[in-house]
Amino acid sequence: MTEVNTSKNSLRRRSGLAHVINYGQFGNITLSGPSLFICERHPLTILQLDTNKSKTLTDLSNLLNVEFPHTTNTCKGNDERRILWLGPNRWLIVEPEHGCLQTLIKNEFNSSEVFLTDLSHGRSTVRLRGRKARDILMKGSGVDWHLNSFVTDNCAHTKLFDLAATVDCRDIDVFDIYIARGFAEDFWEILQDAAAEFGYQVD
Amino acid sequence: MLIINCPLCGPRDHAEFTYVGDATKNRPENSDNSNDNAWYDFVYLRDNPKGLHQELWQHSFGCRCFVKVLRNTLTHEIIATGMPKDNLILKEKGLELSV
Ligand SMILES: [Zn+2]
Repeated sequence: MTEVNTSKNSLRRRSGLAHVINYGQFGNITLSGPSLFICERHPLTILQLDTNKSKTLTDLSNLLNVEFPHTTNTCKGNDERRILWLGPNRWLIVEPEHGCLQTLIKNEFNSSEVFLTDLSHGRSTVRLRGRKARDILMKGSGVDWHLNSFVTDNCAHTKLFDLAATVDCRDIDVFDIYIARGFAEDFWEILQDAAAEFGYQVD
Repeated sequence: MLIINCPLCGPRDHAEFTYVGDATKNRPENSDNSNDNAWYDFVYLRDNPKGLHQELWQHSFGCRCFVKVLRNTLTHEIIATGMPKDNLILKEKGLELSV
């Protein structure tokens, strides 16, 4: 019988894409180089938070140092921590994984005012960057991705290439795409197909 | 392809939505036996209108909210959308139900 290894190393979060990612340049690379850069963001802490109490939200904002966006389909935050509007009274908190964010919140708020769902294990995150990034989104979904409509700090929850996805516009041509981990491999393959004509680099 | 204008998310492909049903049915007040007929009507009886119809859709791939949709069942034209509490027929002045 093999012994269960409980050292911290073995509990490190595994990427759902690690076994399919090939690094390098692919597709129709022209003299001007790749027009699209793709990478996985990993590991991330991803929490869904539900609350309908405005006082609790204010206290949470103070705790997290990020305001909660109240405008539909928008995000707030900084390079580290992002809060995305998901629906009425529902948000997604995302940050690179270091401490346990869930415990931090649960220690301060009781479960009758804040409902937390940890999605870190269930989402894969892909970052698209470059002048053709919007073209990829346009291929996959009917949302208005035009740079006058979908601007920095906007987000959209939609069907991207027929998969449920959340798209966060980090900058004019930088997008974070959150996808269900179980479909991540499928999404990665679709992405390679869609990106081939532009020439892309996997970082 | 139908485009449904979600009151929260804006115009989206109808594939992002799940059809819920007739939005004109109201849940009966009481759940005791005296109200059996009203419950039978609420649960089972549906009209099959030709023309304008108010229906509920859920934006299940987006904000997950219920959206009321005024749709022409003959042409599939989506005339108006709103929140479930809205009466879209009254909103759309000049339009009357064809049935
Ligand atoms: Zn919506």
